Amino acid sequence: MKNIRKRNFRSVLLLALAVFTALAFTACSGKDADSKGTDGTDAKKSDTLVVGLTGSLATLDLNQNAGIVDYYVAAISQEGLTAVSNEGKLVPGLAESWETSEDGTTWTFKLRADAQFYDGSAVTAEDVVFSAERARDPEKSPGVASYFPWYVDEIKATAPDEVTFTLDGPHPGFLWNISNSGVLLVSKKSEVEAAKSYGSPEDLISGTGPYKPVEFVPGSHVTYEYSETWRGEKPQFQTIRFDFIEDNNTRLLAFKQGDIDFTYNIPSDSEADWSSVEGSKVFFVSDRSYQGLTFNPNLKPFDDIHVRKAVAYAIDGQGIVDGLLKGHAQAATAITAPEQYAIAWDITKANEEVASVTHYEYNIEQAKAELAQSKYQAADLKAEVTYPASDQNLGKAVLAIAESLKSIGFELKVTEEPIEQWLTKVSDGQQAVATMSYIPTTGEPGEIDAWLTYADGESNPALWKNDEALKNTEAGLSATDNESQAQYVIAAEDLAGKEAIYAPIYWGQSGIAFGKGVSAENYNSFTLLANWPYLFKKD
Amino acid sequence: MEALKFVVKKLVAFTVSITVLSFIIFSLLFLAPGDPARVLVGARRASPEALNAIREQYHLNDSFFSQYFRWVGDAAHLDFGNSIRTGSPVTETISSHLSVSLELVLVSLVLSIICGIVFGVIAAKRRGKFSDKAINFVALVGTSAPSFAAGLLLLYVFALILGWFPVYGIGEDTFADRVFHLTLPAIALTIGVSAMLMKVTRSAMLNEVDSDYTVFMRARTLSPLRITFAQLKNASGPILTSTGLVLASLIGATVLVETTFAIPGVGNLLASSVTMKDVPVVQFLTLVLAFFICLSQALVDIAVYFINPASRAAGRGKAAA
Repeated sequence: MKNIRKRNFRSVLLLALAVFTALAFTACSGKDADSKGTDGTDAKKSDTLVVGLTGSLATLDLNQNAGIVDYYVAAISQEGLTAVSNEGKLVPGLAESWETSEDGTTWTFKLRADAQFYDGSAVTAEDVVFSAERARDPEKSPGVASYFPWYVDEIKATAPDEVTFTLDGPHPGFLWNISNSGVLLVSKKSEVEAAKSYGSPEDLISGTGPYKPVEFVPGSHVTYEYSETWRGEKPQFQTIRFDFIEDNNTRLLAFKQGDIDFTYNIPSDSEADWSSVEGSKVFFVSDRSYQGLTFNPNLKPFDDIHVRKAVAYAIDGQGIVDGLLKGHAQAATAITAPEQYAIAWDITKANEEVASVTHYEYNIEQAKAELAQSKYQAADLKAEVTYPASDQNLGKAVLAIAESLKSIGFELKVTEEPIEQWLTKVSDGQQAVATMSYIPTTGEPGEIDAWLTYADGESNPALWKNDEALKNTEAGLSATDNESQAQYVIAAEDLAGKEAIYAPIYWGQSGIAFGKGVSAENYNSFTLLANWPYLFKKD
Repeated sequence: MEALKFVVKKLVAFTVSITVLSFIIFSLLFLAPGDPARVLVGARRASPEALNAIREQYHLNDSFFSQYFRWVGDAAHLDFGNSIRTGSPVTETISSHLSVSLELVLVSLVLSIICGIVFGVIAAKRRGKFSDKAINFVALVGTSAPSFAAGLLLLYVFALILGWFPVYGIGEDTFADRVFHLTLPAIALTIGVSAMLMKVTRSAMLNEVDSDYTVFMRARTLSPLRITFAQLKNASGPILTSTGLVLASLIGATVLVETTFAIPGVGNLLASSVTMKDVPVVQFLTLVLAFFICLSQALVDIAVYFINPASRAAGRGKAAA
């Protein structure tokens, strides 16, 4: 009896071993097939750039969903009338030239004769007008319609290769809006109209960029192939594949395994793990993002400027950057990061100008002194603030600020919440103090200020009213040259600084990792919004 | 006739469950803070008109009951609405994700049942011995380890160090490549649930191992395999019931495992849709998952009814009482 039992136990073990061996065999054969590609050669793999995306694309139609990741992907396949260069300058896109009327209200764009969609058909003015009208329709384009320039009165095809926009006044920022980092990505009219669900795996987008989508598996990956209809030289990679890997640990393991060639947004606290991979190049660059606190000057206790100034003085921006963010950010002294002024000034000049904006250097004694001047009693000196769970760095910073405020007798309760809840509250005017995190997509100096310092009392997240700041912001939006626009932005931010409406904490940086054998020329915050496949090289 | 009555009763209960569930899910989504229009637009300046136009498009300005009955009315015509994120019909959005998850859950279910029952039987038969203690220890570790943590450990050992399996994704659309990519996630899912099944099997089998009929069968020198099958049949009630629960646990665990292994399944889709407050997708997806869970529970009840005569007797007894 005992022998029979032993035999049964052995049978189970043998069965388990057989299953394990079969799995291992499948694993080895699968891996072999994968590494060699479907045509059995390694050459195919070397022609492919694999990008590990930190987010997942639900659709390829940016008009539907316009997150920053969607812009990075769209940059290789779709074009606007203008485009962004790696230096953050505006350059021609589908329009080879443009001219404006003397009063700055009429803009006429001449389309390139050699621009073609993936099927070889030429881009017509009708396609551009259709794409622009589609972009401003909230039902067809919920992702971008709300950013579509409200001052555009009319869009007309004035010749087969000419499009004219009529504005209600001069708005130089308009040129940014019609770039592929703004709201205009030109698609072929007939393809969009024929599609059941444009941008889905069944109806891949039509575009004019150097790469065309060939496979899209939502939640998994999207693959682009070089398009023979592209007018320029061929970039070094035949194929670009974006793999959606949201989990940071998994992305790191994939990078270590050599499965991905490039990724971004690597967490600052795991820099050493990423750098330890042989042949990797890991570095941090400014992403021009702004992180700070927003005070509502209409709500207690922030209706008292002394309370606002006290909190601003209690923010140790440099300490937060050095201690919590491992040096991978820059302590902010204003809203707009110096790099955002690239079209107007060089970085030295931009740094000087930004430093001139009224701000409050960390000084806990000064914070106490401000609080002492406040009209509020100790019991009233409290507030609640939330931060999005997706931005842990901002959360750490706000927790540090809360600790600092405790020492001056101000109680700040900090709560983490899901991003969708945070977004809903971001401008509802119900919070006395709120966190703000903004990543600009364009290189327009006034992009953030078009929201934050538009001080009409209702359009900005602080519900701040200040006629002079509003005048400056509007003047910035309609200034005809880049330098005066930048000056107006600085002036508006200075007024916000004087009233301590916003308390900047830091300007963010993004961690970048290139795997063995791949690198990029002069990688910066504009790179992934430019025609970036040309900047990526095989080493 | 009695059997038919039982099946009909189960199907009615199943339909009621799904209807009640749809209402609860809709209520929870309605009550959950967050504005889908604002989520779509992001942290940027947005005109109230544009935000309102998006809300109107998805009827988000309507009252709760108006929204719910609109959804029920459309669902009755198999129209489950469009995803707020993609603008595509939700059935289309979900279909591409469903097959991957079904493959993953089915493989895990089979592995869990095999491992759970085989090792549970071994543990019961060898009560108090080393193998029983070892199996119990492994089951304890399995039930304590979260599936995503087990997944990361498996990735580290079998993908990174040994290089036997890929780190993420589902690979090409071939059987071998799919097995190659889904093995580690399936094991990560299996570890926790098979441990649970193992414990239930061991506990159910222990009652049978000590029973009079087992002694009688041994006395008649019946083969150990035959005795084990007889014991297993009598212990099947709790084991089958647990198998139904295992399916629910597996579906729940896919959310984390699919995120860890970057698998484009419904778990992954559910997580991102909840984050983006894509109400039509969340509503339809949770109903699909609830449908599978309720269906499996109903099938388990029916299977127990037919396999285990004791349950029929108990049912009659209750009815008589």
